[in-house]
Amino acid sequence: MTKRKSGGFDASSKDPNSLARLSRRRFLIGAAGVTVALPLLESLHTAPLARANVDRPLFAIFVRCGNGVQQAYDTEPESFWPRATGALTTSMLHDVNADRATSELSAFASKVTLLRGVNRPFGTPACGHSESITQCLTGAQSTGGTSNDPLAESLSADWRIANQLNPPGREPMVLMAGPTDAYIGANMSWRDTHVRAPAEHSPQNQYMRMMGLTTMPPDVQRRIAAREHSVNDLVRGEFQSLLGRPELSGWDRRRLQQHLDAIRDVELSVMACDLDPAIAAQVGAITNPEANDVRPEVVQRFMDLMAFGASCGYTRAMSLQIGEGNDQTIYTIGGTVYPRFHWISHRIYSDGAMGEPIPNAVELHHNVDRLQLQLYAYLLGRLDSYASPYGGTVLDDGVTVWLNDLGAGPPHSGQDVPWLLAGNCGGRLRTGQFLDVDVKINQVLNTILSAVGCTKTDGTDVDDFGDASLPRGFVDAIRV
Amino acid sequence: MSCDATRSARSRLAIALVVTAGWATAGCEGSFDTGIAPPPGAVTGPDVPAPSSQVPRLSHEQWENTTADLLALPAHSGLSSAFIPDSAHGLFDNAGGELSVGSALWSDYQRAAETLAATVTTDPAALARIVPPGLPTDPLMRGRAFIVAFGQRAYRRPLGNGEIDAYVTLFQTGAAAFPEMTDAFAAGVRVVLEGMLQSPNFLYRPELSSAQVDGFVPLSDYELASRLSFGLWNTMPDEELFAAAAAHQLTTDAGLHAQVTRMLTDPRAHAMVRSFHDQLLQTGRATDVHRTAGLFPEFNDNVPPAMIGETRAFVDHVVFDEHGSLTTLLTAPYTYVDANLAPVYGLRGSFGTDFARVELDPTQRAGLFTQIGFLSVNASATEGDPIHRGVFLHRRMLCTDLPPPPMMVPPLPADDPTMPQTMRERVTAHTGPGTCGASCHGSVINPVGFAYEHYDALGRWRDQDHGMAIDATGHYGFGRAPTSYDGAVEFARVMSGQFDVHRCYGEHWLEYTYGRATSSDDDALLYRVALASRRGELDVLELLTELVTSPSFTHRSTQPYAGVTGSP
Repeated sequence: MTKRKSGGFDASSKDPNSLARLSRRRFLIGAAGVTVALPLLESLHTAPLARANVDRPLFAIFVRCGNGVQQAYDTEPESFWPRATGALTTSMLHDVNADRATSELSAFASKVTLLRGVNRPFGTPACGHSESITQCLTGAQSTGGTSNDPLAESLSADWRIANQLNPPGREPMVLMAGPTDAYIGANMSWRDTHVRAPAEHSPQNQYMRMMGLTTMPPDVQRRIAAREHSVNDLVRGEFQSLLGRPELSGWDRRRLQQHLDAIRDVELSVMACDLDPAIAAQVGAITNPEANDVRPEVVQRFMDLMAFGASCGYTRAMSLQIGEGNDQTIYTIGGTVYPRFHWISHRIYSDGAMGEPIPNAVELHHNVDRLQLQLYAYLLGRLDSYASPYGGTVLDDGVTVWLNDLGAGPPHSGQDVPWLLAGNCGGRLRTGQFLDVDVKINQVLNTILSAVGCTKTDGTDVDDFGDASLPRGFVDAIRV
Repeated sequence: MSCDATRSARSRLAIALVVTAGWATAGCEGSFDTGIAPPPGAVTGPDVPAPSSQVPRLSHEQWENTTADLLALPAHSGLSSAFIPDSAHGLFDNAGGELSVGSALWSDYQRAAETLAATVTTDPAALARIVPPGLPTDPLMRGRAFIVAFGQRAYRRPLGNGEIDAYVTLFQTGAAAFPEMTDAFAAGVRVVLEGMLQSPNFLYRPELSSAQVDGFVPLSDYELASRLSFGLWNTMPDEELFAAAAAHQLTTDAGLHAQVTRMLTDPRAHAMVRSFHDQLLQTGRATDVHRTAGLFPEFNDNVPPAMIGETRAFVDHVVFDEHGSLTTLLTAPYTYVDANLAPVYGLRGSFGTDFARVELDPTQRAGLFTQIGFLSVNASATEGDPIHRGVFLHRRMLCTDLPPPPMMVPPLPADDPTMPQTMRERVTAHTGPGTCGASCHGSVINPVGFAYEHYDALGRWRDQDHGMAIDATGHYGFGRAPTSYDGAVEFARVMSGQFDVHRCYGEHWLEYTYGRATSSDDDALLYRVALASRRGELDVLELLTELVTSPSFTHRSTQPYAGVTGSP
């Protein structure tokens, strides 16, 4: 497997002013896949999150993979974690542990923290994949049952962050590189109890959503703003009228209120950054984002957009799910077409109980791990390419998490689920460590939530995220 | 396994099963209780409307269809393809009471509304298609008249005076908002369209009638018209349906039946039936089928889309041309093939790019589930997959509430070349009676899947497996005394005679046409239509008619709707 090109990314360039400005004229994919230009400008860039605040706006990014990693289990070898805990250095990862998947992060050794010993909070009475996805960002129990679509009993960390730290109406960026129609096609982000957040599957659509239209003159901007404000006012009035109907159920009222809350007027303080046009072109080139064969490219383009969003203060929380619940991606690595990843994790050509053994499944699983961590490293590189207005790079303006919602492949267990963190989050997190811990996911989430600035109603750090029955507290070893 | 977790209230087979994840206890534990399945005692009583959302949201497909009809577009705009996908709720995409709008979809709606408004109002011919003839010439009066006429179609009911006034005010801002437009009327219409296409009265289907009759709320004429059009067409009412609503014809049995009969002959009904079966049968999964030419010389890249086309053509013919029933769908000894599919069936002759009806060997083929699509999707790259075939049929046609598979179990031992086994023998050895998988597979999944052992990984007929004779016999009880069969053709006949199968199919149709999950309130209606369907007294179109003319459809429950999970 050779490392993929970074698609226009120049790691040496850390000056945001060097980014070529892109025409903001948006395009939509019309019927029959024909790309059509919008006839006129239709909306503007959204305003950036406050940059001039005394408080540094910190972000969290969550990247999730599935099916477990090739770590030691039963008679299977350790191929994921470094040999020894302690301080991480480039040579330690790159040379001493070259045979381990985490060596792919050697270029960022001083900026990452590897956590071994994180455990899923609850068992999986129904489907382990879907239950694990439900728990990985919520630390919550689920409705369970016998379905493969359990519902979380709490919102997820990305929404917790966005709700408290984003401007009103600004939601987290929720992305998924994978198919919508799948055995476990749902994603890991929960906007509220029992309410799963839809995920964007298309980089092009996400890009269009992020970018305003144009570099129009101010008077045109004002005209558009006035028009959309008028329309919004009328629509808001209609929502208020509906919400005034006493016979509506609480559920219906909640749905309408959510829609009403999402309506935003154009902010005239236009976001002052654009995506590298070369990357924008790559984003636009993907026309079949759910197809198996473009999965790594889709992941990279989403990562481009997440890094771009972080650099421009688009949102304080982002999540990217790679593959469906039981990732069925057929990866091509080193020119070899692999069996479905889920089959590899089962070690047989099957999703379930029976099937021909895959002879070299352990090796294949390890290679998929390497690919996933190469993609993670790509994201870190993208974040590291943007200069931070607070010094250093955007990578340290937040915390960027890579996790797998299962532990090892064969048992599909919730023990030792890998959580890798990168970025010191404005100096609030220690990095450059490989730690053995014994914590539950909610304690890692507490640590992240508090690091990015979330607080409880009394103003203290969040130490109680997730189910109330879980132990409170943090991963103290990584808190500054 | 297929993606078909459903929170249906109806499980014809109640399964008490404990599945514990993890290696040590990865097998199935517990037991299937097949003794309580179904009646056949009558479930009597009046049809009762179940709690439902009063503000179901349009699905993306419905938005696409409705904007095309409302704006008289020559073709679908395709704009909904850029909408953020909805989270899945049940089997179908149109569970309107579960669909919500966050900031991403809101901005998608805004962008699409602005695009459509610009498209229509900057093209005089397009604008002319939505402006009624005979409007006043006075600019303001002309704008008001347009708002009254167009608004009734957009909101699918007459607008109130306050609503009209609000849009007139908005209309008057058009010229200033779009100074580049020389036609002030078009500019006013443009901003009005932007508003209406973002209105909750367009994006949702508010059902706000509240007057009760006998404890239930009869829907208003216009509310019922919308239920009918979105239930049977996946789009807004047409002029004739609006006229029937205005004339209060839908509140009479004769008027309601007349409209339903008319609607079911419309091309939009064909599209709706196709969409329903596409989602129920997951026909789109055929695009993931890949086979090597070495093992399957009949396969090429055109075969997967042809599989989808085959099922669509077959369903359309059975439902609309044959006026067939579920039994026909399950047992018809014919199908539709093109030049790509004919070789897979071993057919000789001249076939082109169009699908043509062909008669098949009635001892080998019967209905939907001996078609290439189902058989090859539920197969590995080299062999048929009785487990997935059985699971699919249980979930989709028997409404069995199967639990998810165990997370991991020991793999099937490698083939011993000195002692070859058939697939059936290997599956049985691994999951059959006496194994850890017995409760899940031995008596429930495997007996159904084994009926399809005569079909290989591409759905070709075969008489041998690994050089040994095929055993496709089985017996399955459907909750009662087991019925024996030999092969898929006999199993199709057995299925077609089962009350549970007809009820399951009816349940899916209810879920789709009503746009909500079923509940115990639907029992009497489902019992009635299932019984009649099994007796051959209801074809598919008549089944649909029964559903949408029922008081369950024409009325609303007064009980508050709490979502599929009963959330507060």
